[in-house]
Amino acid sequence: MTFDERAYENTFVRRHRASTTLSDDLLERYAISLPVTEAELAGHLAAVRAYWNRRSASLTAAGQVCKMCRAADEVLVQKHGAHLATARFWENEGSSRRDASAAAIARLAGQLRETYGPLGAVTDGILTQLAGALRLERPQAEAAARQAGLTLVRAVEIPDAPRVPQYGTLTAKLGQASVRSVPALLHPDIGRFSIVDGFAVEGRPGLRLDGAAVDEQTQALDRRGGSVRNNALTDALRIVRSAANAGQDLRDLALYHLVQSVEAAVRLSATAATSMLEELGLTHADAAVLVLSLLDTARSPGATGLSRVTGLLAEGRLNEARQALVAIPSGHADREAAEAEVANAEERLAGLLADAERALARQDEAHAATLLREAVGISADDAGPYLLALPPPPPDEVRVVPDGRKVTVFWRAAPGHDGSTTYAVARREDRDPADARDGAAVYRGTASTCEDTTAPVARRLRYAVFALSAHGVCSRATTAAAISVPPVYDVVTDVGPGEVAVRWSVHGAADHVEVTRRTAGGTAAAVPVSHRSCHLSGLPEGEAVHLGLRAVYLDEDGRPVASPAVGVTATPRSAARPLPGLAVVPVEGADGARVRVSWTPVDHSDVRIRRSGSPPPWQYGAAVGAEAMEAFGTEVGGRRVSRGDGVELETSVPPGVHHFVPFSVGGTGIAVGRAVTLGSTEPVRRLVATPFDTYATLSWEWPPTARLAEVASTVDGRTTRETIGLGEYRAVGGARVQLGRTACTVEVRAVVLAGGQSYVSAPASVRLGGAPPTVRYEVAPASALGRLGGRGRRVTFRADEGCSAVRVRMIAAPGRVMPTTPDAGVVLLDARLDLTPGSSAEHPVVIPRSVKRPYWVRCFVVAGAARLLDPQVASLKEP
Amino acid sequence: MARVACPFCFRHIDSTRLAFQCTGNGAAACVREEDELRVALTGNHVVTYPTFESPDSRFKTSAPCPKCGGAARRRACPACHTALPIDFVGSDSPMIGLVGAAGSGKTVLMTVLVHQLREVVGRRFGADIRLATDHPDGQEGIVAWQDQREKPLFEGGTLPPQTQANQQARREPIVLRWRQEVPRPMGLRSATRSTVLSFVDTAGEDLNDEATTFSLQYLAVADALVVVLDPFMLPGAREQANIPRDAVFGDRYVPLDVLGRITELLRTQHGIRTRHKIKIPMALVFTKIDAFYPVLDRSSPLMTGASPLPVYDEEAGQAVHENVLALVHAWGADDIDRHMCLNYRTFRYFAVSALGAPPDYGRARVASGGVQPHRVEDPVLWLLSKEGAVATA
Repeated sequence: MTFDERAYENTFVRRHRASTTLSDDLLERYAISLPVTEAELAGHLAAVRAYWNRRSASLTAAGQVCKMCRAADEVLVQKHGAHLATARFWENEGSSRRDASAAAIARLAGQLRETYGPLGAVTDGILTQLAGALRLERPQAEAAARQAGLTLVRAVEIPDAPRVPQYGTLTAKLGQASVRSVPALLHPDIGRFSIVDGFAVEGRPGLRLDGAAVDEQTQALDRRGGSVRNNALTDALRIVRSAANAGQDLRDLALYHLVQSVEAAVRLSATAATSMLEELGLTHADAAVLVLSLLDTARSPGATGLSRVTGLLAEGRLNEARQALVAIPSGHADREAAEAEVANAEERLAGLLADAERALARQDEAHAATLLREAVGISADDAGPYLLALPPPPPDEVRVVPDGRKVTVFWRAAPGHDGSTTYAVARREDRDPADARDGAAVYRGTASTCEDTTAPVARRLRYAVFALSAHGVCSRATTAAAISVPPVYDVVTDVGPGEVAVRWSVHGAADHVEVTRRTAGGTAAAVPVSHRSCHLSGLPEGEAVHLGLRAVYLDEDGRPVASPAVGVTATPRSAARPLPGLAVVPVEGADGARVRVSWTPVDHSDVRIRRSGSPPPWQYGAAVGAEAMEAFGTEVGGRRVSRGDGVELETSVPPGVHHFVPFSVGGTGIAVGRAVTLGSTEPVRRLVATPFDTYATLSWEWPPTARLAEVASTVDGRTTRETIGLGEYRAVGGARVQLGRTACTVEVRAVVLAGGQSYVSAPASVRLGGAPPTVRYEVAPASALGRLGGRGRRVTFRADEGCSAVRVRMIAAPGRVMPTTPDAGVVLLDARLDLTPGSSAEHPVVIPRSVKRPYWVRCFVVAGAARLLDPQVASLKEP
Repeated sequence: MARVACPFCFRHIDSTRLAFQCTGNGAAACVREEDELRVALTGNHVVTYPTFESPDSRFKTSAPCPKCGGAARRRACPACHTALPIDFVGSDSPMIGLVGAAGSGKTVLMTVLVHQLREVVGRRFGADIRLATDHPDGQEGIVAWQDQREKPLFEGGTLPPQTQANQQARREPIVLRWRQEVPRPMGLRSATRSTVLSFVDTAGEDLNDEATTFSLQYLAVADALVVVLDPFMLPGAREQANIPRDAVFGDRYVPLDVLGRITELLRTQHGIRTRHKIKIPMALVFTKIDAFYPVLDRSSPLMTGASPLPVYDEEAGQAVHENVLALVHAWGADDIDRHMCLNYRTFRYFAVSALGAPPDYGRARVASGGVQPHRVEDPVLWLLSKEGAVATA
């Protein structure tokens, strides 16, 4: 006897895939066929158990069956011990099985007789269902049917609804005419008939259910004349004829009508339904088959086996689909398709479970969960338990950060975590926590960070963070470790004219505190410590002292572990003197309003500059505490630069009015210096100058806070400073600056008003070129007769401001269009001008006769600096 | 009889015989309701008190309302029953049409022009110049006009969207009242003179092949035209200045096409034969001249500021005309000048800039320094000088 795994899987395992219990047949379960020797048994049982062990690791339904077999085997071994491996045990088991089988057959025969005895038959489908429920093989079930005296019949296929649009009218007309069936309509004297295997009437083989029979009966009725009944019969026959014309099989129509007549009764009593069919004219045998067919669940009204299987599969109820498949009689048209669908679902389920198993093996819980969720969509019964038992992915990126006297643990939710995921943090010192209850419980909740305020210091702390699913399944751990060495805290420094005292607090577990002083040479020297403080004296005033403070702890082996150093810088100072002068001026900067703050130190005190929107509540020279100083506005930062004896810094300030106050921080207190008030606004931006003939238009982007601007320029040594409002600027379209002879720089500052005083921003500037001196010229006829006097002209140049080394050219150009370049016509004059202010130069010219009317004469500057102004157009243009 | 065009219905009316409009002050209740004539001629459905004509309205400043008996002093167009500024009575009120191709800058020019006339020209001439209607350019009121047209441009720095072609809807005119004292001879006390200016902004597309009724009516009654030409549409000009691509609004409505359509419409509406020239004064205004500042001679009349005197400087105007003409030839657009010479008796070229600096066309934003108009008022002053409403130097 050899163990055939494939055959075992196809028979025993396959049959139990949908079951939650095993059958009692041990011979089948262990695949033992009698007779068997004990030598054979030893190897066979080992092979079977090896198969169970191997397969039970699988998440498939087959694995489930093998798990059940292993569990049952353990019980049997516990109960029977070595006896289980003896031939005698299995021979007894065989005998018991035979007895049990006979009893089961007898029990089934009794049930069949009781239920179906009056009908004298049972269908194949019903017998299969009963056998399945009693775990009987097919031959045993058939034996039981024989024992009950029942004939095994094949269920008749109930036809679908007939293609008769007026089927309701047909039944109504049959009722009106008191006709019981369609065969009786076509053959009024029919008597008893058969219809299951085709329409037949005993002794009258010529009767048929077809169109000819309809026509024949119709003609007979016509001959009889009209009556209420005959009219109803005629109407019924017309409907049947229409159905026959449409291709409807009248045998199916007749059968459907019979079924409809007893459908409700079948559910109440099979015997009554059979009697009703016999009353309708059907033979007893056909009536019984028809009733049994209706009882067959596969043919029960409402759903076919295939649609039920499909529906159950769509709902993820594979096990129920398997049971529905069993209920479909073998040989039924739907059977094959239903089997294929169930097999396909089983195959997909097995594949998904196997993939999930592999994903879990490579610690990809998120992917395994995805696969199992898909598997649940196929069979919630099979895959659901695995999904519930699946551990969530462990948290990502766990970090442990010792922070003073506490340790903060951070982590990140892994893909697959959701709002129902909780986290547990555990801590140990000797090793990583194995699960959420291993070591000190630090945290349990849904956050992604926690603080451990009771962590021991100077010990290697191993933290593990676990994710817990909604069902309490714990993930693998994500671990991180750190050593907490809290530094000193609450460090307070006191300084005097030649001394520095430092006080601090430290963690209670600290062994001691080390204080070192860094000297100018870069070396460090230890400073004596006395009960959480140290004191240095004899120090030079104004020279900073740099100290480093480290708390020292002892680890589990007694070795010292030092905390990070806390640096302290203190400068011995005497009493501070208030700063009498502080200068604050706006300066140009790229990032908004900037100011330059400068002062000249009066002693060695530390000068702090603070600004506020409100004036200081103290008089000049008042002494204030550190807290009062810190409460006043904000400190003015910026890099301090020494300028000679003074110090200055630049900083950005928001637009508005600011009160700058210098505080002198000395050894014995803080002195308030003289405050300075400054209104600040952002400078104007994008200053653009557009030069025209004698002036330039200035335009700029106004800062949001300014409604006024100051325009300052120095033109030809004359300085002007004008203020323009935003409204005026918009009304006239910018600001206008007259151009001088030489280049100049124009500065524009935004102006804000506060408390009746105006404050300006840093300037924006633009460079303007100079306007050359203006030279006017006039063209007049040379003759006293005017233009009638010929082609001679006198051209006279005048310069109000004078000019020198200016070369001018006069041309004559034919055409209507004014010449715009000195080479656009015939040259009439080319002369150098050197004019003193108010003087003039006159030149006669003659226009050649080659220049025909219309024509233009016009002068141009061809060298030197001058702006030539044309005279009236009429004197230049000869129409 | 002072024959003027109603700026709302474009019918010629006698400004000395205007109708009266009730103000609801009578003893009986007078109801505001839609005026059928106003709706029919202007499409305006605003409800008003009754408008009526009085037989001897020429000599009266008020007339009793036939419905409520109250004294009606408000004057209205006898044709369309739209209320008119009181200065309209007996005045010469030239209607100035503002026409141009799409994207030529008409709407910006109109907005800046109205602002410039009020804020700068009024100061220069010692005149009180202000919007005189309740519905300037279709806006709900003067405040709305300022909120929707002036503030976005002057304070928000936003360019207006392109004017839509006027297929069916009518565009309300902008009516400005120019009131100033004029000296009288022989030591007589100076008198106050009022002129009502009506501007209508017409999309260039309205002058397309199938001109709308609105355009025909409007051009038929216009006393003068300001034709806005976009130099960016001239290839020669584009080559001269460095013009961004998004500043060019295509070349479909090229300046000469627009001029040609205007000429055809004017000849048709006024029945002017080909051998005669059109008498309506026309100002041809090249906008966006700021783009050419870098290439213009600083001593050119185009780069000269406006005269501070309360006159139109005819000599400077001629110089500008000749310089623009030279520019037009330099741009290779001399066909424009030939068209003008052959068809118009009185015309003048102008070069103006409404914004003063190239805007950001892509973002429809004015330059950061704001609006800096340059000589935008010159065309109107020239046209008013032709009418005798402004003195000439």
